[in-house]
Amino acid sequence: MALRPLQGPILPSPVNPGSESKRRALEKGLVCEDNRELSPEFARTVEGLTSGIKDPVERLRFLRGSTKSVRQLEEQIPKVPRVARPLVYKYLGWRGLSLLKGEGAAGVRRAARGKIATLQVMIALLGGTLVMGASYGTIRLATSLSRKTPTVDVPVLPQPVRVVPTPVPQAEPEVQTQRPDSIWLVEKGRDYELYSNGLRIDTTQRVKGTKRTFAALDEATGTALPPATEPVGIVFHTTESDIQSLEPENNASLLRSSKNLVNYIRRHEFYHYLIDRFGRVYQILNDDSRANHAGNSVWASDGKVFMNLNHAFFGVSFESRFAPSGPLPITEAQLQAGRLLTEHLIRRYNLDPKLCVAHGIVSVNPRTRKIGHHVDWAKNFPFRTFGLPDAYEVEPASVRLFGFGYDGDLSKAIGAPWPGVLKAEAKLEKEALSAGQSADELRLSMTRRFDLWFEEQSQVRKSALSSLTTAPAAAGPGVN
Amino acid sequence: MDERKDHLWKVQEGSEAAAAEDASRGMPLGVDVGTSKIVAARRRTKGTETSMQLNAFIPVPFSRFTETILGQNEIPYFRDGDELVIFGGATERFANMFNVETRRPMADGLLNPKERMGTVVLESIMRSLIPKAKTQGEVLSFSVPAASEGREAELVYHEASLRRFFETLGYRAVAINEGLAVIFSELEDQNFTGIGISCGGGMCNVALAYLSIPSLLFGISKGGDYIDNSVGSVVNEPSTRIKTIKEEKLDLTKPPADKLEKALHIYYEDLVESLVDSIRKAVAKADKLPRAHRPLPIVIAGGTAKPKGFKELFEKSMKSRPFPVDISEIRVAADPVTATARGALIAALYEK
Repeated sequence: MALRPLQGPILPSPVNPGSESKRRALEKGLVCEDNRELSPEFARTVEGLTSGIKDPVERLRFLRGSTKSVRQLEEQIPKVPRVARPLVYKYLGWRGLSLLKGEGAAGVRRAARGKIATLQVMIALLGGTLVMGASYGTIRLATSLSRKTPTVDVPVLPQPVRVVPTPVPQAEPEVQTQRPDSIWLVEKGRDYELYSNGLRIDTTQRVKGTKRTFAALDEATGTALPPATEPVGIVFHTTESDIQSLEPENNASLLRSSKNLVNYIRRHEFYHYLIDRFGRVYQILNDDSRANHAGNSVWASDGKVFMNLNHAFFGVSFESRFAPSGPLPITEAQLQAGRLLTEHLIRRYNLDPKLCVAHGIVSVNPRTRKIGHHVDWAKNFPFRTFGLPDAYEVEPASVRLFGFGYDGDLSKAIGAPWPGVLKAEAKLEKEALSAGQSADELRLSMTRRFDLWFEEQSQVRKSALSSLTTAPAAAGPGVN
Repeated sequence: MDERKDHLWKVQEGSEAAAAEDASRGMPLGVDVGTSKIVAARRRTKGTETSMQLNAFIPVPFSRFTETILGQNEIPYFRDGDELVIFGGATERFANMFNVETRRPMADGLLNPKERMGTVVLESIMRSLIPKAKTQGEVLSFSVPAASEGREAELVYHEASLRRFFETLGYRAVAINEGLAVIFSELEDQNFTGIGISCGGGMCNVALAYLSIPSLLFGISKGGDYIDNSVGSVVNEPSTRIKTIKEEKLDLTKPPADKLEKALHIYYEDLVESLVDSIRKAVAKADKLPRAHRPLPIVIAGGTAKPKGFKELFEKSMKSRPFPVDISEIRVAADPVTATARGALIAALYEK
């Protein structure tokens, strides 16, 4: 294709390094040009020796090593008789081969050492003749060539360790006839806890968060009760994440999805527990910590009002997306695991079942004074299957005490609100009527109560643990 | 009532792959820091493995729902005030969805001085591909372009910024010229002798090496972005969309079917002409090149060399005028997008 090769002698040129980094790189010949002469004869010789080198890195090492050697001798080589130069190049090549690393190059190394030894014997035998006939440069060269060939340590690479996959936890069948009266820890491994009701908790992802501290309010007076650190209830969530159908073809992405979700939740400390699509229960935050799961939220029971449930309530989330109609948005494995986890938490911490609620029915927006800011499980949570009283029937404190309302957004998301809201709204209107006020006037006075009580609760918590922030943290990844 | 399937299957298939991934941590790394893509290469038991991210980003308005979906789907992002900055592979999808342009941390092969978030995004992209060094001082080799005239100072800043970043991850960072990296990955059977060309997004880098020693290094500030922007402006389409079309279905061996393809052909020809002309001039001008004892091969890599027919276009341009050295063959790398990173990996293993 080309018309003419490059002609004429190429003179060695001094290298003109720039910055320090360039100078360093130049030494390695990776980012700067190096135009010093390279004899075609040398190139031919070393190229003829590369056929046995299979590894590209070793080939590179050999070529660069040999080139470096010949450049170190560039002042002497012109003084060597032309006829003897191929032998010098060959020697340099063999020496380069003898320095190769790795088991794959053992044969090449051995052969090169053999040739070097032969050459050294020949040099010894013919030394006198050579010395007589050679120039001063040749003597210098012979001296440098007679240096002992360095030995090479061949590193033995460790065999890769095959990791046996951990057995997959299987959801245990419910044993109706032999239900234990109490739930105890059966076995505790490095990465799991097994309980007597069949609950298996994966603890590999468990982290310690901010310590739980909260103060409930007395519903009758609005005054704060003494600060507490023990959990009182559970808020159930859905993760509102990407969900794929349960099909074997989706196995890899289902696994990846769960793994990614666990990492994401742990990073943001969103929930205490996550139940993935295969019913695996992961503990993310330890039980003494708060989680960013409920944010602006209200619930009350037995004369105690709880505001901002991040501290007082466990956050338990199902890997799922909330659906207001159709079948439950969770798998059978999730349902079973959720039931076992709820049972375990209630027994272990003596939780009040009336305080085991769904995120959608406790979530509020203080700015707009509306309920249902997040709507996950605002409908269809299987309270009875979980052995819990139906929280949808309870008049929510957000409406009953604080006069919060709802708008078209909630109706659009879930249809008609849950029965408790309708009951509380009816009572509120009746109360307004008997007080000679409009419902809106009554709501206004009630929402002021929310602000006062919220402030009261925050102050108590602040003084209880000044190092902790009491402003409601962002809720978990629920529906906006 | 709830979602239930009648058949069961083995769930935990990913364990072995994950274990192998863990075992590979601590190996030398090769990284191609390109204007368009960042590619990392590492050696595995079964060969070289590469991973890549688009070197681009796009900001979208913040919402918790968006954040959850991004987080769970491992779409890399970070929050910047009221915006979520999505970077890497998903960027083009979002840009095409909203019919907007992606933004770039780099331009013309170097850090983009006009992009406010350039360094932050570039580092985030690299973090998503490169784990922290298992032990301090592990070798990482990263690609840099050749210094083009008048931009030497920018190259020094670019190279030093990348080096410092890699050092914060615990690596001993070694720079390698992009074109030389192509020679390292593609011309092993030629004893690393020949001409390596990396046709990237921002520029085309050329190296001529004898026995792995670079004798000529230079670059031209034309690359895939030049084609995308030029075509975009004449057909009035976002360049991001042009890039997608170019990478997905352009065939330079077939006559153009529409205005867009016609424009792509025209600007491809222009790029190749400029490139060949520059090589011709640079080789002819270089009076200190070592004498080659055999004809030299040319190997072309980079995403811009990917379309079918690129090699033929290059050959046609080479044949149009005399070339100052004998050429034995012209070929496109088997995997042009990863060739530079694989070459950088060889450099890292050599430096180990």
